Amino acid sequence: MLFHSPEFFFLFLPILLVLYYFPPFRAVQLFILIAGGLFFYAVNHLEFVLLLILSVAVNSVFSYLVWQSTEHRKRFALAAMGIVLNLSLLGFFKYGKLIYTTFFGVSGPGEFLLTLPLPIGISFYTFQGIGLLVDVLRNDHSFFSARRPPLKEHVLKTIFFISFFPHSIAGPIVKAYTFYPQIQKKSFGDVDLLRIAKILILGYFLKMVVADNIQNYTFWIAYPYFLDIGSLQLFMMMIGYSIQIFADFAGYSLIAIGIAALFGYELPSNFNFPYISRSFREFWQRWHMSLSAWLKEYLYFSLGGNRKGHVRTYLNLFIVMILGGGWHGAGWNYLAWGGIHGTLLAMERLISETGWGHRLSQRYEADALASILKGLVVFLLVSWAWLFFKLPDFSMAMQYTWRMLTNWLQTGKAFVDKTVILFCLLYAVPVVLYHAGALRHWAEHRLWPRFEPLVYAVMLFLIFVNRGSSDAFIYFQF
Amino acid sequence: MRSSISSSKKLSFVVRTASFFLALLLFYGMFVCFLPAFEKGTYQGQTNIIKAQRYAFSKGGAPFVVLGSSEMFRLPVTQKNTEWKNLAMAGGASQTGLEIVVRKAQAGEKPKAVWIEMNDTLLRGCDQELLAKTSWWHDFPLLREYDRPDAVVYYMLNQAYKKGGAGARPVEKDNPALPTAMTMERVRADYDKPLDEEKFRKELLGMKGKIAMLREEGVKVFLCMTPNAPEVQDSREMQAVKRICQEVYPPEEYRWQAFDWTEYHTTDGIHLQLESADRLADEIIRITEQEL
Repeated sequence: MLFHSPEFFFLFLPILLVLYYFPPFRAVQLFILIAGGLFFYAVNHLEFVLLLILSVAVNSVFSYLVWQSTEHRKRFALAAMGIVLNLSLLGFFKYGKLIYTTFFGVSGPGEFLLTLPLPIGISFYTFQGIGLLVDVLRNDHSFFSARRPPLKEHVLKTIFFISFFPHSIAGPIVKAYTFYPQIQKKSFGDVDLLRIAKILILGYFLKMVVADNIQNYTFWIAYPYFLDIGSLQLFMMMIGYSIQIFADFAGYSLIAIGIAALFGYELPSNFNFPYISRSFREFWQRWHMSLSAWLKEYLYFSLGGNRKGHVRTYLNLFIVMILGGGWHGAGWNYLAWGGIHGTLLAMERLISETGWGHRLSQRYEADALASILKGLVVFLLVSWAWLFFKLPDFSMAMQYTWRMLTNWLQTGKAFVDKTVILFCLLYAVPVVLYHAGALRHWAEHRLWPRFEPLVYAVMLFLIFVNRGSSDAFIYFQF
Repeated sequence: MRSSISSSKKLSFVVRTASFFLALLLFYGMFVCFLPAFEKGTYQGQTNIIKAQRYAFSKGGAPFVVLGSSEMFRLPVTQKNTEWKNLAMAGGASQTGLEIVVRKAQAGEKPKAVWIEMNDTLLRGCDQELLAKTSWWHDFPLLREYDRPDAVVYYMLNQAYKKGGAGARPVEKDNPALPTAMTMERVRADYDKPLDEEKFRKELLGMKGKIAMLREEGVKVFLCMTPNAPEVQDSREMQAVKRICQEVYPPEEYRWQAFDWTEYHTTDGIHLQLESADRLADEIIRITEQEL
């Protein structure tokens, strides 16, 4: 059961909403959402509900103990234990296979690790649990420094925090100090249905019309198919995948935000028009913002951030991005993807901190052409890096790159499918317009209120008649 | 959480959006009713669905049907004779088309002859997702694959391209130098793997009842293997395929048709070049006409 499956949208969601806002059940709203969350998770992955509950138990107990304790060393030790337990769960289920095959091959006593399925959403709920422990330990947010709740109340809130179905499987990653204060009784009268409907239509459009259709053309980014394809098509498929992954994940995030808002909860934004970024730093401030913010707040700052000199800053950036890559998946290709971004971020910072780099950037700061060029370079390199994300093997991504650079002479019908190029371009149009609208502030134009209903009607129409078929979101595998 | 927009403005927004949406549905629904029956989708999966739906939703079906995978997919039988229908599914296998033909026959619309491709692609099994799209409730305007705007846009662009003079040019042929040595090396490695004999046999046996049903209805069933490169024909996997096929469908009981594969050329060791596909289509039509 996924956000775009009929059983979710026409059965699960309406039933849960009716129960949730039914006046006699107002006192048990939290229980209804917890039950709904566990049911939603169980439908998708019954065998791992216990693991989710274990994660909840670990984080509830340890965060409570940290909260209750007043001795700094004890608090630190308890939080560290909780974090180690969280990371152990993640390590065993997510990285066990990779570590085992790297050191012991594909046979031996740990062979069972090779067939162990990845519990859905484990990366997300583990990070949220760690965030909770760090928030309570740091004690610098008013919610956690105010009063200490009874254990029962804290456990309930923690179960809800981790199992709340709109974000439990693929984010956005919610910080405990922004979520816990929201946990209170909700009233249907406070829900802004029109705003939510707009968010949901846009989310479903990006996912079902753009991402689910363009995947039919980016399908050929697969070994060995791409070996015999001409450069132009390889290049367009790379761009197409860049559009697909944005539409898939931004669409998912919008749907999650919209559904959470239906129950009266605000989840953080995950995307802010990332493909208009003119630097890699800006890109990471706009792409998967909840993960970037988490990595910055709980990892980059913990490593010392930029307070320990230039070299350490570059190293920290690199480490954070490598770990961020590894968070996405247990494969060398994900580490390579993180490494590429880490290198680009460090190089960008290095250049901007040198005298000539600084002067150059100041000189062309307001230059429109320079801005476009910078944006283009960032977009192309980000798109290229997605190849390491898409292809399961580092060498395949390198082969794809090589073919893209050398297959220019293969232009015949057997090598270039114009339909693939055409539809990669066509399905990129909504994403380009979406970003262009942000750049040109279309929503502030005086004619926008007139056109807005038409824009939403067209999106609804295309969801109805031109949706693609897909049984998953790309980020569900993480 | 509530926005400051007044209720009347919200209502006006909803009414206008709903009106535009309904108008779009209405106009587009009327528009697609006037489109001719095209079969090409924007990608091979869509072409498969369109072909299957056109056949399943048509009155009478077609007297002659070709079933198979991407190997038979290229055969231009319909272009040569409109009584023929190519239900071979690129990326799929014969079982899917066979199921559609059997359902049609059960509804009283049986073909005269069916050609079934028999090879390792049968391991892919029947595409249930595609079959679901041939259910009766998909046969409504705007729910059919060929009513989708992307398929329609693609069809119209193709028509415009042809009207612009491109259609007058001869069809671009495959490069006769194909397949490349690298491709053949890959194919050789692919076909050097052992066959999952148990699964393959199970798939073959699964088709037996359906083939028997068609034969009982008087449908002539031809079983065949499409011509591939020698590296494929002689491979370990294909040898096992041939052996099991002959065991489950003995030549003395079933009508097997062999082709002289030295006369045909492939693009990649497996799929026929356009010119070879054209000749094979001629051959299949000729044999069928001869035997009926």
